[in-house]
Amino acid sequence: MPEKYQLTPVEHELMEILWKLGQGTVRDVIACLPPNRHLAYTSVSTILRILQQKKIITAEKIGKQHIYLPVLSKEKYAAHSLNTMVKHVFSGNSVNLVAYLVNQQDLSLEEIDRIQKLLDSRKKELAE
Amino acid sequence: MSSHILSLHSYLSVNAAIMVSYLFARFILHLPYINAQISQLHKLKFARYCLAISLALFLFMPYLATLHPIQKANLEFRPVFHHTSHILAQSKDVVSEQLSSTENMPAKLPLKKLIVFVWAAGLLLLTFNYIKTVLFLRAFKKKTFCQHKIHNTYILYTDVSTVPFCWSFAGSNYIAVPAALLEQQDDKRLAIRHELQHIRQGDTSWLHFMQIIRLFCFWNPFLKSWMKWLGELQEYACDEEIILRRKTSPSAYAQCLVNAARHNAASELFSNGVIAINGISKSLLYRRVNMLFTYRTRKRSLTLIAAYAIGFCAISSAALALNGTSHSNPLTTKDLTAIIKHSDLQASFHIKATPEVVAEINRIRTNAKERSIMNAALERMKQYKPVIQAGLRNDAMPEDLLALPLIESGYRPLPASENRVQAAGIWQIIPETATSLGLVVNNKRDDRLNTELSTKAALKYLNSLYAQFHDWKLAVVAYEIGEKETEHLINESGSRDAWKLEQSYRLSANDKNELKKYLAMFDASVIIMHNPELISE
Repeated sequence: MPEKYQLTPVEHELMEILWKLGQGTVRDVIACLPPNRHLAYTSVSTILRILQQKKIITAEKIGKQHIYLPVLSKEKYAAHSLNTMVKHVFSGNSVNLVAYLVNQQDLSLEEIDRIQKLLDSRKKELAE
Repeated sequence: MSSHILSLHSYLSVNAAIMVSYLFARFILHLPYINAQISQLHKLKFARYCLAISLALFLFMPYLATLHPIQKANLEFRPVFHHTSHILAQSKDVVSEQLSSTENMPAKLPLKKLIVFVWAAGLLLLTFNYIKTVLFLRAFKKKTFCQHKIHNTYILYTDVSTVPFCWSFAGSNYIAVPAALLEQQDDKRLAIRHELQHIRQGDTSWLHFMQIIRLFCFWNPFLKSWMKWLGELQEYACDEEIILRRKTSPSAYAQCLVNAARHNAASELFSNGVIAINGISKSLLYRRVNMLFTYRTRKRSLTLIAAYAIGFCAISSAALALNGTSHSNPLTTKDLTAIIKHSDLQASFHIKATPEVVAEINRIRTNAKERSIMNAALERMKQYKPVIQAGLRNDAMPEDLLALPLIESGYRPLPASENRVQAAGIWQIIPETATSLGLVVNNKRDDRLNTELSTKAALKYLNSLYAQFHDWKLAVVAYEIGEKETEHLINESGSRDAWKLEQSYRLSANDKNELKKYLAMFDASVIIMHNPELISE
């Protein structure tokens, strides 16, 4: 996946809002920011336009307003981020990541069950 | 003129200009009264003015000096650089000469070549570095996102850098703003204003100019001081302008500077930028913040004019002292009279600055080809000098007769076939005279080409001419045109002054000119022999 999908923390913050909204104008995005987060209208507008240049979102002009739509889905971004993480943090080996999750994280019995089920169903798919 | 500009002499001038302008500009701005009255922006402008004007003055002072209505007659005042560049340009080097005399050592230590090599290596390295920076900034630009364009100024947002900076290239200006600053609206606004002020002041263009000078004068410590000082002045001027122009509160601005410095400490990516400006270094930060609270709001144009005038006078005087005359400038009669007075010439030839002598010296001096011919002759003279000098001293003859072979042959042992009267050797003795003086001249042997024998003969002949005419100048004339002809001329002109012999009715206009030319050449050669710097390259 290309480098351009890398997001800065603010960009990620705004993308989260857009993913949740599906689409939106600058005002829509600002309205969804937490009350203690102060970002100026011009800043949000600039960040959204940088995202547009990175081809992560597209813009449609309706009247005087620009409506921004995500091109990159959250799943794709998650996959890309995870791949980058596995590559850089876990020496490119996903087993290392799972081992870390199982050993280091405080998983409840219920969560372990759910992971087990996921693994079982994946096993079946591969066997067929 | 172009050959003069591209000489070693002007290279030295440029370096001196850098040094002198730095010392004067710093000194003048350090004067308490001026320092207290002038704003930072004017200090910056003044410093640049000093640098620019001194470069111009040092390069063109030789030409400016000729425009001066009163030509200086006092030649005790001698510009330093002619001598320095002359000495440096000579390939001889004392150390290498001493080394070459010991046989086991390498023949000649190429010290001059070594210096040129180091200089060329430095030039190449810095050029490479400059191109590398330009390419880096081009690549960097592609990774940024442009949001605003004001005329030819682009505002670029970047994820890579953590500090704002700006640069100019090919008529366009660029301001790189870290995307992280988008979260701090106030800091972002101040950062852009600050960088825009840099561009408005022309800092980015000056940086290119300074870098180009640095390519050639990188070894000059004063250039380094200049760049550091200009860098500081640029930042002060920027800071002050922003506070004065936009009514920004000094404390908010100081906070912004501190924030930027904090980011800068985390990333040293651009701190050594070659042509990009990012004025946040740890030592400068304190002074910049301090300045923010002591800025001047009053404008004192009188102080400013005084500072400019002092700067101009001081720098132009220094330029005149160090580089006041050019070897390609014609000398005046007054100049030459002063030179003759100071060069302690012997009275034997009663040399005066006649218009013919002045013209002859200027002919050699102002023509590069003539200069090099004369210099080569003087160089060859060194080889023959010991023998001839010993002979002259032995017979108590004036040593200035050394100038005679200079005009006869340029100290080249020319063969008889070279001229129509069959004269040969460095003394250009004709066959009849040679035979009468006891030299052997035949198909197999020509004693005139033997320096020792021909010198002995020539001196003997000159001595006999002196015995006949009782005047060394007339002896020299007789050496050229023959004793009988000289005798006639003396009788017909009724004068024993060599310069008046031409008044003889017998001489044709052409012969008169020839005689005057010969006398002028002899006198000029004697003067040049005593003052070789008159025709230094």
